Amino acid sequence: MQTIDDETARIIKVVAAQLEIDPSEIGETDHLVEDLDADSLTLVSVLAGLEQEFRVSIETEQIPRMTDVRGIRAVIADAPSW
Amino acid sequence: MLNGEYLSERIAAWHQRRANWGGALFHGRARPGPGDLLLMSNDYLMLGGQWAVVSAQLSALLEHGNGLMMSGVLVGDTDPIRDLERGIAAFLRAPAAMLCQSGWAANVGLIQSIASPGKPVYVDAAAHASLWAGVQAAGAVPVAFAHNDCAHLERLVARHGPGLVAFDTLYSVTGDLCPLTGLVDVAARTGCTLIADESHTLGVLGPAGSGLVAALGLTDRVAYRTASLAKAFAGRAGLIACSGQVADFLPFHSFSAIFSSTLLPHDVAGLTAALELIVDGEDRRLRLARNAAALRTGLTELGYNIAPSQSQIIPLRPGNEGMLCRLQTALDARGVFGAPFAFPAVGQNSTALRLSVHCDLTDGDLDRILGACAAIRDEVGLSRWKSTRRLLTAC
Repeated sequence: MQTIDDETARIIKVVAAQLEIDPSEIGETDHLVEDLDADSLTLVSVLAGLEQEFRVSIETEQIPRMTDVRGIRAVIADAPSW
Repeated sequence: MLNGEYLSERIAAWHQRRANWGGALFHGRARPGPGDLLLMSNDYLMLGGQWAVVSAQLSALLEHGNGLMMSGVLVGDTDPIRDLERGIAAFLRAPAAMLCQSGWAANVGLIQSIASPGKPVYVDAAAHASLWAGVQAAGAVPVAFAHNDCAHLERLVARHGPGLVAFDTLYSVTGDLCPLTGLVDVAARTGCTLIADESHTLGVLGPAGSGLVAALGLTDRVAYRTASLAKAFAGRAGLIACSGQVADFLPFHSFSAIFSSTLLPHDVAGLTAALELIVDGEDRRLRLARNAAALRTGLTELGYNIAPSQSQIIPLRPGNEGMLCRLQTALDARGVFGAPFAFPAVGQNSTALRLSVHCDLTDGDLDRILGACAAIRDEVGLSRWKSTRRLLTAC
């Protein structure tokens, strides 16, 4: 069984909370829209949840990069801290 | 013919999309028969057919015909529309009110007139499309904040600076209220100015049906209130409540007002009569609230995930458009007609069949709706709906 690091687990927790699904249903490369049925409204909530969890600032222009958990990791890496 | 190719592709995509539904969704659906239950109308207090409203419209038609075909800019100070504007301002406990053609015209015209080009306008991610269109018309910068998330709004304002904040008081698909007190607090801390679209709360909530802002005693904290009067007012018009100074300015700066014809005399007469019924409509509001609560409880007991609805707007959320089509067909066949919502009104796979409750539904009607919703659960695959899976995850 593949193990995931702490940051990935925290991302998955945020995504799962906003999509109201079980964290176990989310894989690192699952597409948020195509595989997990996220819509534009949910993606803004995911963005807000990530800001809160990681205490960073993420602009909505970054949403197209947030295609999956790996994409979100990259966005967080680039995001300025509060 | 680049534009021709573009349009051809769009039309072809539309045909393909409809083919994927597997049945009739908007066009071609079953026609409601006598005795069927119509839950697609936003006439929550059932005023559209009241004799007081209809007779006022008839009298105005007989006396004035269709009136003068002219821009609202040209309406005189003694026109009955001015009396209605004053009456609505008093009803809303607002300094002034301006009427226009529709809720869309109200929101687009207001924001286009008051927003600074290049400056941020914060809009709830779930807010009505007309608020977004207004920001675009103004050349302002739309900044989406997460739905009903005051903390996110405040972080965004800290980064981008103060500006207008636009939101619905009651969301037209999900049926949840805005966190108005929190939004007012954020605005006070950050120097923002609030625009509240009260389309689905006017007539329904607050003292004499004057809306959520009045209900919470916040009329002096929300600078702008807008509404479509095609809901509880059961007419055709839009509304902007604001300061007297802005109301004096708007008719000559809002493109929606300048470049549209004014309201027709029988529209004004009908709305004037509806206002009186709304003010005296406490019994209707109580029956509406009771019916809405009963339907929300009943649907929840049947296994439907109607969250976050807390109002007369109750969405059934099947998932994709094919599933929406199946749901609508199943309920239509049982005489229960809801309003389908698909992209762009909602996200691509976040469709809804909206059930709009009204005050005249009887206990027998509610039993019939719940009976239909119980009977179709297997037929529409309720257990496989994304919204149902969310319910199971939450348990």
